[in-house]
Amino acid sequence: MSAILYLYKCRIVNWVKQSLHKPARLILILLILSSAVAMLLISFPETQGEEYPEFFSVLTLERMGAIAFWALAIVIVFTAIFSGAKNGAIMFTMADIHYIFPSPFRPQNVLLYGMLNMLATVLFSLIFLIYQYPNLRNTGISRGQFLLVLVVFVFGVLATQLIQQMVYLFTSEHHWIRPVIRFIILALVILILGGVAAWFLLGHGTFTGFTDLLMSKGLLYGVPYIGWLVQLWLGALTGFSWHSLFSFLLILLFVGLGMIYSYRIEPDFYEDAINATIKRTEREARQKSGGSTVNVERKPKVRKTGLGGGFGENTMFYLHMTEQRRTRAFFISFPMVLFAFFAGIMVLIAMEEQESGSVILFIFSGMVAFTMFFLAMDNPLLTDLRQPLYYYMPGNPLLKVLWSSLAPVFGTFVDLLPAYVILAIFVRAPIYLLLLSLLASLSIYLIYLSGQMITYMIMGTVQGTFATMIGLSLTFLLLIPSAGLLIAGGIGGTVADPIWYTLAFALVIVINVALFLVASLAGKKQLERGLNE
Amino acid sequence: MLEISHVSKNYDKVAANKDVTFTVPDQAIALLVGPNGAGKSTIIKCVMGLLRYEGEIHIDGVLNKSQEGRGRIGYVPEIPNLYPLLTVAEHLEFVARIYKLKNWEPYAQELLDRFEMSDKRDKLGSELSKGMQQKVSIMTAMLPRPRFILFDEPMVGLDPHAIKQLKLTFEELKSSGTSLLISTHILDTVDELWDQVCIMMDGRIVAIAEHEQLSAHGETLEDLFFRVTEPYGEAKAAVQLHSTPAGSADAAESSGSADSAESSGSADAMGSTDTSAGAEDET
Repeated sequence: MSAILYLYKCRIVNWVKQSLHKPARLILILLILSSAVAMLLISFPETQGEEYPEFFSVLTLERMGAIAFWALAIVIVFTAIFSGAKNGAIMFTMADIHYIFPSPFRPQNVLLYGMLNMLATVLFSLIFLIYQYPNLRNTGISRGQFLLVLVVFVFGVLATQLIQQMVYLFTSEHHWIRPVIRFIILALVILILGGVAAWFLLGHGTFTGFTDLLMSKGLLYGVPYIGWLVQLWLGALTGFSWHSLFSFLLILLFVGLGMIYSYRIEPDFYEDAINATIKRTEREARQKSGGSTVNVERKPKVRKTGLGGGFGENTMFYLHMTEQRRTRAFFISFPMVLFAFFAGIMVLIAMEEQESGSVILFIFSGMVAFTMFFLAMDNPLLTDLRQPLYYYMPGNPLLKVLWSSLAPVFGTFVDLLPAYVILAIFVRAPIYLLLLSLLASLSIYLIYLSGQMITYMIMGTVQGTFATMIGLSLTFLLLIPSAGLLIAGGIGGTVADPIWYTLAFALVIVINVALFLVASLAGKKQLERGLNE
Repeated sequence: MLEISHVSKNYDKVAANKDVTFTVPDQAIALLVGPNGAGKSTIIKCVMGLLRYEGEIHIDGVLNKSQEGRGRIGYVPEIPNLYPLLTVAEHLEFVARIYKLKNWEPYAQELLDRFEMSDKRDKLGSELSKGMQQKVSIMTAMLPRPRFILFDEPMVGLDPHAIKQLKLTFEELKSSGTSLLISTHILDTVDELWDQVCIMMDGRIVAIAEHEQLSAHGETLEDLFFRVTEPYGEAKAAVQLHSTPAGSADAAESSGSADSAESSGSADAMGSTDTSAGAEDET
């Protein structure tokens, strides 16, 4: 144990020493802590009942608490049990794997060390709950009540981490039970959601009746652990009673017995812990380098379609097409489903509101443009700009940039196709206008790429607070012509002549492509300058 | 003595180690060589008790995963992972505390001097180059003076001077009674050091040889390695075409036990029988 204490001591001392030399991180932490304290000290006005008196007369603080705490407890505990059937509530670093795993420590002590790391991380992340104080103040909660609820809530979260650990250890002894547990959790979620829906829809239950049920002692004692947690949290919110104290003791007993059980068995958790640590380290490394962390754990499938073409600069296009093909099963992707969903909503609006097809296309293009902004944050061009190969491979830099940009645009085109097919079938709009709308949407994607390229050239990265601000400002600046034209075209088309719709879309395409070509020169400049350190 | 008996390890459907059996005697330098993906790192991690596996591993008769067993092995992983917020000296002290060492400071200083890290003792782990990190990794593995040290590709990232020092260290460790198991696929850097070599391929041990036996046959480690690993596909085909019940039995027998291979007394014979045995098992 002295070694672990020594490790913690050295880490803290060296962290402080390092922070004094490079104070950015220290300042950020002090800022977060001081603003959290300030949040608690500022006297926010109590506005309960002033804005919505009828609402608050029915839904008292206790009833709101009952709904919120049951929902929170179910989510936290079910997530913990579900995760526990795969990984323990433990956290290690690669250095721990190197030094602590092979050491002659008892596995239980190594596990305890991993648990302490995890609990410390969870505790730190819960600091952000303090920022909820101004919102909760509106419900009539006092500062003292809020702090009490916060402390008890944190206790509940930490205790639940221990539950996850117990589930993990128990299931690591009996592997067959893991899928059973996951199935039971999923079935319970469906049952609970179905039960609540049935209560209101079939049983015509009222909110008051529902909250009465949630606060009934039968349910609070009858649902092990979750009910006890809710009773404890409710006690902190509305005043402690013998029931809440008893619930607290039950939780302590439950967790204590679990800890004794955990300490008695000799778990062989090293392999699971190594796998989890490697995955987390990869994710963090990608985050640091500015790459996407969405699909880190997904294994791409090697399909027959490989690098089937490419010569010189356009090899980059074929490379990215191959990558896209290998990460999209049957070409289906999340954006494709999302765009199709938007199109479905548009069809419903068109049917309900009797809107013209052209107006629907304008609204749809706006939704697509907004969504694409987030999707464009991770694209092959950005990946290329971080690769040494991209810089030293022979070829014309401008052509390299253009070919690299084409692959994500083509991917977006494929994503948008089903949505436009839906619109073409169900919305009354001319085909040429549909095509123009599709091309206009794609041209807006080019604007996002343009913003990124210019930011990369200026800042050497698109990550970090300052670079993000620059990137956002540039993108908004480049979007002004599109936004202006689409608004003007929309108004013109509605009040004057439908030809304005067509003109607006066509001009958006021309201007955006022109802007992209100009921005590509920034990409070319970056390639000529060389890779940033 | 390090005894690895019938160890098999699967990653999902991929078999990384298949019925691996071999022994590293006391005060010996054993090499674990094989092409990329042969399963060398996996068996080393199994010995370190970092993975779940089938079979048994004993160190001086003690299970490797027991506290006592763990206390007897040192480990130098392929990629050094230091604590970014611990200095070089603190890494050494941390390890000394883990293993409850007494009067460790003079030996730690000796190691720092030997690996030319004395002037870097107050540098943080995050401030070191990859080669320096590897040196710290080696020093921390040596500090508790374990009975066995497992080196997973220890030369990678080291400069020629450090490699020379490491080779000297290997010899000193051996003479001081420590056994070493060194996994590598760079044969020329270790050619003169070893006492025993285990050649792995496709997760199996395909040949085990002793240095003296090999030298007596006028063969080098490189010769043996290429003879055993290169005609693998051809040998497999040959076994498929010409296998006889007797031949199969011989092959199966020698593949299952490293001892039988060792006791045959001829590196040449060991190489050839084990090669065909590996191929036989593949069929």
